[in-house]
Amino acid sequence: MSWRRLLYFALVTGLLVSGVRAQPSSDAYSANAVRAAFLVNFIRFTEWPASPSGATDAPMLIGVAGNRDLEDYLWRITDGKLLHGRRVRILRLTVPSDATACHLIYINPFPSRADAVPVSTEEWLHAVRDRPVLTVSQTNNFLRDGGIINFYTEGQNLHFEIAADAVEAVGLKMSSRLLALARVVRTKPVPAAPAR
Amino acid sequence: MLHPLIRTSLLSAIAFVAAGRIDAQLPPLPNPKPDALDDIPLEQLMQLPVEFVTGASKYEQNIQRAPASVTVLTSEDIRNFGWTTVADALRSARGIFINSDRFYDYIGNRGFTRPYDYNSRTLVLVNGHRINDAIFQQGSIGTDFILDVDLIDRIEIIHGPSSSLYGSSAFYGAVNIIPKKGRDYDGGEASLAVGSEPSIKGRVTTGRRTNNGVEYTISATEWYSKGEDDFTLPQSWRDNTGLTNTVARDRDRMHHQSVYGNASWRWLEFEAAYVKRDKDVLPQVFFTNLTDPSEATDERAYALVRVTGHPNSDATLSSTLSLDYYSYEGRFSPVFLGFNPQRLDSEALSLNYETRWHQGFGDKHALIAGFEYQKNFIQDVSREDSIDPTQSSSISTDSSYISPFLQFDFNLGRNFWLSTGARYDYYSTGEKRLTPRAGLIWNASQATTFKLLYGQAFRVPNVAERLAGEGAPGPNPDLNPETNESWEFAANHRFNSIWQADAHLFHTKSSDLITDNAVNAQEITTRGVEAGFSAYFPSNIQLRASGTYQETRDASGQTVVDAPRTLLKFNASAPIYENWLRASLEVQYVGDRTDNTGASMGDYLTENFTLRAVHVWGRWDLSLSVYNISGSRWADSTNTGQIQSVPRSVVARATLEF
Repeated sequence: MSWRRLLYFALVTGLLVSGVRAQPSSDAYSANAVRAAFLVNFIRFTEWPASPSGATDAPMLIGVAGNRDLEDYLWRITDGKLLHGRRVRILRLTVPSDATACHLIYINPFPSRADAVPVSTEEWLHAVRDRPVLTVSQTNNFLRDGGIINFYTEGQNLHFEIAADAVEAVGLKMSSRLLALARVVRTKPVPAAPAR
Repeated sequence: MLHPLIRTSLLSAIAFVAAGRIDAQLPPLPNPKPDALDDIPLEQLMQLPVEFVTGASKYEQNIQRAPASVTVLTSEDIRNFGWTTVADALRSARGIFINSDRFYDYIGNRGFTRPYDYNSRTLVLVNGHRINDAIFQQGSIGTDFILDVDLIDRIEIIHGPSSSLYGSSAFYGAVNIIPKKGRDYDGGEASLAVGSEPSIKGRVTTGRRTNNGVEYTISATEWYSKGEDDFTLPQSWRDNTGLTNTVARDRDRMHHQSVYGNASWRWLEFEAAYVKRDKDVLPQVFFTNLTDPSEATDERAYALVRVTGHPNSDATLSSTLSLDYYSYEGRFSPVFLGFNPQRLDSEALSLNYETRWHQGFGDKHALIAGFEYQKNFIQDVSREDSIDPTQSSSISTDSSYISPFLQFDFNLGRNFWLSTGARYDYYSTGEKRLTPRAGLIWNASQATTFKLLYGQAFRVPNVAERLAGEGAPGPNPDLNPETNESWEFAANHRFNSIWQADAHLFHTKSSDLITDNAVNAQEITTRGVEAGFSAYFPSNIQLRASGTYQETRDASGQTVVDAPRTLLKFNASAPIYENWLRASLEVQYVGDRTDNTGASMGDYLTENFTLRAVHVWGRWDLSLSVYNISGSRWADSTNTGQIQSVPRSVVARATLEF
């Protein structure tokens, strides 16, 4: 086939295919794209205690451990936006000490080979224990181990559960709107009713 | 001749733009784009259908649908296994073997290597940008590679022909190397590596992504190696030269200097790289003498600007303009009487423009259309005989090519994908080539994928072969392109979130291969089977193994030079003390091969071990590697016979993150 004919073939088929628009997509969203949107909403509906220095212009720090795909979605979704009137910064977490400065950390319990960080979920939680850091993950027992918000799947949808006692224990205030949408879990044992 | 071609390409480009505009005027999709997901109320967010993929990352998902068989190695692999060059990384990949004459490293792929072919049959790319030069078409992968391996984010190895997207030299495969971005450093790194040869390598890198969206990386590396102090000359050297020396002293030194930078802001991206490598050439490689120096300097550089836009919600249009420079200078003192010390110089300067439109149609179909144009302004090759000027020669030429390409990916119902593509290459030197590719992909289940792949490829004769041939037959301006036709059947299965396995059957037939006599004379067929598995445990233990059995024969049924039948690879990496100390072991077996005289070179087994400590005292990454633990000394084939491999060595590295 001569190059001229090939080019015309390319031209014509290209036009034809471009014209055939696929049906509005009913395809699913990437889990990380949806997680990123949830994380931003979690921040919107949570209040942090004032910083000891009183600074109000310091950026909101979102730390991500072991999920570069999620980092990318967070970058894109927060680009040029303010949360609580503050700029947003996304940190890739590799050492536990970095997590303590964050407002929210997302811990990927099973990172892919390319994302692996040699720090376990327990170690991340330990690093931010008793600090006003909103900890988020998607793994069984995350709330029992001291985490605050855990994603879970219901059918094809992403839902979340909140450890309400943990929120208060670290000095965070969460909007009732968030709590209304979540499955609220009490992790502290409820004291037995006093015996009569 | 070129003008109507350019005009037609432009017309087709305009037509595609117009097609995109028509799309853009359609009402927007009801579904929000991922970037705007946070603007919808939480209640609706909880109603969105979500796709869950184990170990989800963009490229892993893509691999399932790629119309090729792909291996991905990551920056963590590079650090865990202590790889010092791209060649080291490739050694661990399924089906690939490396032939090193300790001057350059050559990729053996699909059962084929030809000693001293300059890697012209595997395309090397950085971020999709061609590294193979405009003189020898050499894809550098050793200490002459343009990037420090520490800067690599991942290495994608495309097994099998890829000329339908990349053109010449993507003959047996392509290796695309993706450097890290500023966000991967978010600060800087200073690194020092000290080796037992002795060698010393220092690197300083800084990179970040700022709040106003600017992202950049700048890095510089300097690397010296003394190589092997006392290189034992093989019997073949003594037989051929009639000399009685047994050792070449201090003839293996290497000096590498490189700088790299990239910067991006929104739709604009810049990248520039430069490397200069000086290397002593061991006497065995070209039968050089022991009294005068024999050494070579390779320089490569490129600078590119890339613009990426989204003409409609599902489209990506990117255009890249790049300037490439290549220079080679060799100073050799042959041992044979009648051959005088000589100096070889080559220089090339090229301008390359590529534009590529990727149009998705929902998540179902996709179209890639584009064209590449390259103008080689300078292609100079000269030889200067220090004593007899009549033996000197000098060639100056220039050339260009233009290549439109097209690929369609169709979703044929729920789980079947058909990918078809073709590229037409038109060279000012007269070569014309249409290379098609087709792949049928069946996602039989969430966990199982089958692929049936067909592809053709070609390699145009390089300047040296056409115009500056060395040795008796001289150059041959009438050479035709080499061609390749391949079939592959591949199966991949993910047993659970930890284990996965793959198997491949391939048949590849290469015709019109250019021989040492500068004629299109050789035909080679390889049949092979490959299988492998990988496992990644939540405890951070990683295992990877693969085996290849292949038979490579020429038209008369004879086995060909340097074509091992068996390749076995095993890589394991595991935390051994808490989470900060990690041990990694790789074992490689390469079966028996023959040299250019038909003599057996035997098989070999080699092992490398690396102990790595991460986040020591907060900011340090420390490692200790032992290469070739058992100290086996195998031979690799050269065009003059055989050359002994490098001895056991140890390298200690310290990297400070700041």
